[in-house]
Amino acid sequence: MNLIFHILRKDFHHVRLILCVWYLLLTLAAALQAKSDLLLGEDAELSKVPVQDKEVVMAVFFLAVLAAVLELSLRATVVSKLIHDDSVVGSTAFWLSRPVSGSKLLASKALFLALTLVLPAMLVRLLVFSQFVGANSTSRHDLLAEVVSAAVLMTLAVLTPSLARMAFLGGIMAGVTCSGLLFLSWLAIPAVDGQELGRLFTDELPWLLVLAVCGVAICNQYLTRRTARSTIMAFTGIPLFLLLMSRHWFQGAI
Amino acid sequence: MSAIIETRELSRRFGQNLAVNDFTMQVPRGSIFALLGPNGAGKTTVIKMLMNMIRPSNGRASVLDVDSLRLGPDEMSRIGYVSENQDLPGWMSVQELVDYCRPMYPSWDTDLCAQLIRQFDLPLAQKIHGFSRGMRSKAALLVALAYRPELVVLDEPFNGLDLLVRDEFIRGLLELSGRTEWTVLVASHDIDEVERLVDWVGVIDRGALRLSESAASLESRFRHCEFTLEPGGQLPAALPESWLLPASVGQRVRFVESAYRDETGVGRVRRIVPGLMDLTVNRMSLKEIFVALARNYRAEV
Repeated sequence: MNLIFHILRKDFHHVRLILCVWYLLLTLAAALQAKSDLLLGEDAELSKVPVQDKEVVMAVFFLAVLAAVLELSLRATVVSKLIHDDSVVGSTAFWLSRPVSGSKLLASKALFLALTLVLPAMLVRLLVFSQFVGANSTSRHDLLAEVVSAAVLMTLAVLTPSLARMAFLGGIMAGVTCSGLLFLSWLAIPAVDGQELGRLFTDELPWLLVLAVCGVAICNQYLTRRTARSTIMAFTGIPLFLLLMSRHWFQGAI
Repeated sequence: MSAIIETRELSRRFGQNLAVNDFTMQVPRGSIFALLGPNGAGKTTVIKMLMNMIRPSNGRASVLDVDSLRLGPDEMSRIGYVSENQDLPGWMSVQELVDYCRPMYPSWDTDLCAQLIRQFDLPLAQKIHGFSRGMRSKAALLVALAYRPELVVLDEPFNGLDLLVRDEFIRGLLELSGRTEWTVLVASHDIDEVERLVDWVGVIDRGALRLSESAASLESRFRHCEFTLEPGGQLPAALPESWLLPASVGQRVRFVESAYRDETGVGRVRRIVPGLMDLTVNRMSLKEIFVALARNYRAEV
């Protein structure tokens, strides 16, 4: 246990500055998103916004998207620094020649992510949205999304040796997933309309599956350092995710 | 003498390339063992398999009496490893690196650590990423020796170091060897670097161990021989296998005898080549022996 906290302290010392910047950006992004949601109203339709307010709403919306992209990029950078500093890919990492087991390293990194990324992100979201929008504006699904995003970023980081490779693998996985989703929605036409597509992202089961697959791939990588096998595990999650995502579209047909 | 490292038919394949092939070796406990071989011979791959950094494709190895695949924190706390390929946390200063490593080792020797810092002239507050290659090697050596490991594994530790730094590095190791009961395995492509250190030598070539012997034994059985054939004289068609790299210029013949014995060596040469003149037999340094062996292995291909 001491070793876990010892590594955690080292990691915190390493990423503390970038973490502070991320906290600021996280708060800003959440505030802008909450403001944008408030201005757009429950329906989130620009057509219902009074003409004189449209420019302001558009500007806030644009800033919210920009801040969200920057926040995600910085979040990925923090995860990359954290994981790649004690890389589990290749055979040159410093920790490999030290009395540190893969399981303790995993425990330390997971604890660090939970305490410094997931928990603050949840808290910021809860606080900012309750302030701007209302007490019950943050759903369980929003909180689950924070956990899933951290797990996905960690998975990408443990399968790669650098931030650039991590972004590349993330791009490939996102590309495959989006292509699969488009293909399935094309197959299911006319069952899929805008409302159905919106429902996709509020269904919790596929995201729980993503979490489970990420967990298995991360554990396998830390405990065995067999990167090819862990990558296959991570990619196996994509078709399962797509099937769960699109299961409602085909229920009628089946 | 028991072995602290033992490998049996260790092999490692990278795609089509067989980097290490049926590598069987024993490193005697308490020895300073040099694993020598040209670049690309498979030294680093062997060491990475020993340290459980990569898995062997076949065969097995044991380190500190534990299967290399099962090396855990207990064993790693008894091994000091330095490699030119090792990543050091560049964002740390030397002081931070020491503070990070110290709690991992129950046997950490603060006095020895302070002595090594002084000896290597390491600036405590400077970040490692700003270090020269030599300084990085010294920082790596510092955190590999300060806990008095039973086994020190050095993989090409001298690459890129200037002569002065190399000398300091070797002197540091030699001084510690005088005071510490340990085994050192050092892999290098250049015996010059380790000649002062070693008492046991292994030669690896194209992934296979070609020789493993004490330095004293090697020095006693290798001789550089040179003689002149009598006018009209010729070398026998079949020379002994122990004569390596035979070459002649006119009537002058030279070769390396790899099975020399003080009491019978000269007589044996005279029996094989009767009527020879001006026979000279010279002792060889480890470097000369290594070069002769490497050239001989290349000639065999």
